[in-house]
Amino acid sequence: MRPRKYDIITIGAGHAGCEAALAAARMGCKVLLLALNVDQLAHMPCNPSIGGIGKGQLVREIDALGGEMGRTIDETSIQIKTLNSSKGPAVQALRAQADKRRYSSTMKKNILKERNINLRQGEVVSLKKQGPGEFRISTADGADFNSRCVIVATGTFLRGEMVIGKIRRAGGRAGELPSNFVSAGLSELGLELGRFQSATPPRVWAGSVDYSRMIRQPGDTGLAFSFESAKRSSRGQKDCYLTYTNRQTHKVIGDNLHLSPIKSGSVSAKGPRYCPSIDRKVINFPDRDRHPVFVEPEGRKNQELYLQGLTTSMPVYLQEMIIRTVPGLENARITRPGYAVSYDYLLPYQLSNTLECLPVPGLFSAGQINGTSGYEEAAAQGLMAGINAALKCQGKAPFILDRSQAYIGVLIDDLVTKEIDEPYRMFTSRAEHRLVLRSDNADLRLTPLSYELGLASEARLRRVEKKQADIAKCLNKLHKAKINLADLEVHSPADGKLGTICGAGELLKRPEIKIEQLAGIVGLAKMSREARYQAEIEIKYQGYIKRQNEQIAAEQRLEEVPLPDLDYSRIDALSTEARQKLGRIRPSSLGQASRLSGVSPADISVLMVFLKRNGARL
Amino acid sequence: MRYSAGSASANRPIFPETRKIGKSCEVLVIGAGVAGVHAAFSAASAKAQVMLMTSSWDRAAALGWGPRFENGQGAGRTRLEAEKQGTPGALLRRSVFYEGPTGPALVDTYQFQTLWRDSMERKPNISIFQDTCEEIEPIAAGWLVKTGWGVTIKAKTVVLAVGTFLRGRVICGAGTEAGGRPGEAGAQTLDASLAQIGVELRERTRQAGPVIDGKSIGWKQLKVMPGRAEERPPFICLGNERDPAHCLESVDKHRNHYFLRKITDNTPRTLNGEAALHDIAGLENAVIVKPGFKVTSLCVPKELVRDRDLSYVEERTLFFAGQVIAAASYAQSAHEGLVAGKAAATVSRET
Repeated sequence: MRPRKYDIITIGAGHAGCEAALAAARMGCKVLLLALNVDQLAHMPCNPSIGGIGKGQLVREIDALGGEMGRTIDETSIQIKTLNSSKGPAVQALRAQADKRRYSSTMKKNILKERNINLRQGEVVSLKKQGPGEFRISTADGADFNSRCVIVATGTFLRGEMVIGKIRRAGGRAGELPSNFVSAGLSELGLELGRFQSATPPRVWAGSVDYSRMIRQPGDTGLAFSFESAKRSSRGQKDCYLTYTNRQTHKVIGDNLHLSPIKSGSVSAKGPRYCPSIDRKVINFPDRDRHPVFVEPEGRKNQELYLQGLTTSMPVYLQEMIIRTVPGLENARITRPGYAVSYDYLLPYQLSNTLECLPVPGLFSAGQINGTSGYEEAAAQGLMAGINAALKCQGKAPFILDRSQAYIGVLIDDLVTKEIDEPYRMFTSRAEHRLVLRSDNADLRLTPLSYELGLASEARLRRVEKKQADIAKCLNKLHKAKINLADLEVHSPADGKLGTICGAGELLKRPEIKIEQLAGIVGLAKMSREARYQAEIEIKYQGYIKRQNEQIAAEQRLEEVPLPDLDYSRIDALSTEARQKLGRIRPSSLGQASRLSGVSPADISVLMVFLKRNGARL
Repeated sequence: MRYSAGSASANRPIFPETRKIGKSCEVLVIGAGVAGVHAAFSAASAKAQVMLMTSSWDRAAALGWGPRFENGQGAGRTRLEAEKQGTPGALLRRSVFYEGPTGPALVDTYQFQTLWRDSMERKPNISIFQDTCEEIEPIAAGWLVKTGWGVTIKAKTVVLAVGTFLRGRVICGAGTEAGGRPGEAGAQTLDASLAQIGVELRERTRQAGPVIDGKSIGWKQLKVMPGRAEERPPFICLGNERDPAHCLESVDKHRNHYFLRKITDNTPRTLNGEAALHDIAGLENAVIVKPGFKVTSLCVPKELVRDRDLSYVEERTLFFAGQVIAAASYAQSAHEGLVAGKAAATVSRET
């Protein structure tokens, strides 16, 4: 029986796998989506939420590019709010609590709607490359499949092992068996793997929690992740609650650190710095007398609560003792214990900025397997890997986003350029151009590109073009209009320079003036709220945006200098460290080379001289 | 491990009774499949303190053997009658998406699971705990159970509703793995404890057919279930005259995926699982979504279990329900769960 043939096989149907399969299918490829459990697609094994600082920006970009995460969370969220609302637009982010079960079943519905996707349950036991453009995959039940490209999106399942205290059990997640054969397949193909660790907190029964001792954290109305959502968040959202650990909590942990797998060394893999367990927080911050604990429901009707901030893999009885020191949780009943999981990951320096494995053309890798943490980071990679695998199958040029275009660009560039020695999580501080990479303008930046790829309809493109036109109109009106300050009950500055009549644009530059105050007077009432808001930002941050754009242009010049496949060991004037790093990472441009740690500006100059001498145009 | 209350603010004991390791309950139900959730329901309704343990709460009440709920097969209690809200019958009725005129009901597993999980989570006298049961030992006041993550639980009575997970071995095409269903780990050490108590265990094999992608089925060649001929694709479909020995059942109302009943997929390594299907009318181009499988696991012979209350003949405080005593249908598992749970609650009061 000949194996069934596909354009692309995606191994793993988590957040990365689902986005990859959907994107490739929508671009016209025949996709096989292999899952260990077809009833648990896009599962959320940890935090029941989507978005947050840095992550929210990723979700908006995924949506602007035609990915699924934004729409799915809008349909299934139980609460949504803006973080950092008192700070500037560059660091504001949306965050939504999800109904986990509905999120998973909604994503499954979307997968089943795509005629180009075959969903299949099976564990991959063999992954081989037969020749250029031909991969062969076998599952444990004896089925074989061939494809031109493969996307590996196996999350935390590769030789996954869970730990609580001194007890270790095989598993990619609680209640699920690991995947034990894919790592060998990847190693045989010449790829280097490392070992990482992640952990999740215990869940408690809602009926055993005393909310009166906690601070209520309600959601905001009128918000949505997707640019296409008609539905906005309304009242009737579920609340989260905030409480804190205290000295007693820290004493229990401190007295029992020798039982913590992190301290006792039974988990030797590196864990996520930005998602530390409470054990690690107590070790690293001995002076803090309290740490926040966010109590989050896992669904609209679920009676299980997620305890964000109490991640631990101490023995279960200790977990209970720790929890019961926290106000409101004195009688809390654990339904699922917290645990740590260690797993193999693929060192991402081996990937190109299309997420294709440099030593194995046609093999792509996306998600937590690349050493990231978070559903959003995974989904962003899945989308890009799916798009690029499809383009490769169709013989078209790859799709690359650089650091000045999107957070997704920052994410991928960081992964393939930096040494990732702990799980990578996105933050706004990672993006040097965050003033132009805002949540609110992701559609303007990316939907036109998505249209070129075939992932956004013409109607959607027109909507974005209309928004751009509206913004231009708003700006035009604001620059032309003059406002009598007396009408607005605004005071002129003390030195009276502005007088009582002022240009609307000038006035808007003042931090205390909001565009909604001027909208009626200037004739902007008919424009959409988004367009007005964009115009407001353009004006308020004009100087900063201009400077950032100049910086981007300067950097662009270096990005555009491609680095051919050089033998760096022959370039004597390079420092030893630079030679090693360049040889290992093999950057594709001078810009990427400049970002490698260990490569100094002097080394870049050396490279520029070398390239010029060897005929490159600079 | 004792917590030493030496800090300045230790005037009151911080953890009174929880200083000891472990938990206790009156009825411990092991396994949250169809039998397990029904047992927890009836035990809780009889006002006992129940603990419901399962290796995966996300898989609780999963209908892992197809969408068909048989009526009446020794299970009159859970037939599709109009019942009071919140009762097992009512939860079942709300999950049914198709009811044949003479025949079985098809149940949506996602809906069924959601309703049962919500129901279990809301009962104040049911404690849910996700873990496996590794050892069970008789003690003076009942049983001492040790879990995979090292928690000890004292229970006055125990209902074992572990289904096909007792030293289960799943054979799926060419692959064999330990577990109760494909991809789901089982209780691999519990049988040793049962043997020590003297419970005789026997091997039993069950099989389930594959789930097939509806788009790949040649509907024209198949005979639709009488009475609902206007639906395309149908919810249930019998084979034609050439192959009457199989039927296809939609797994949910969307009719994307179909469970193939009575044919198992257990083909040798050299063949793709679909090859075995290609001789069947309508399935020449069938694409498999979930391969069929066989599971061999240990079960307790029916003669060792009292009919009246499903307790073990040698022990009044140990009960069995569901596939672990070779129940043949969901309805039977459900009925046994209800009986065992109620009996366990009653017995736990006596001690």
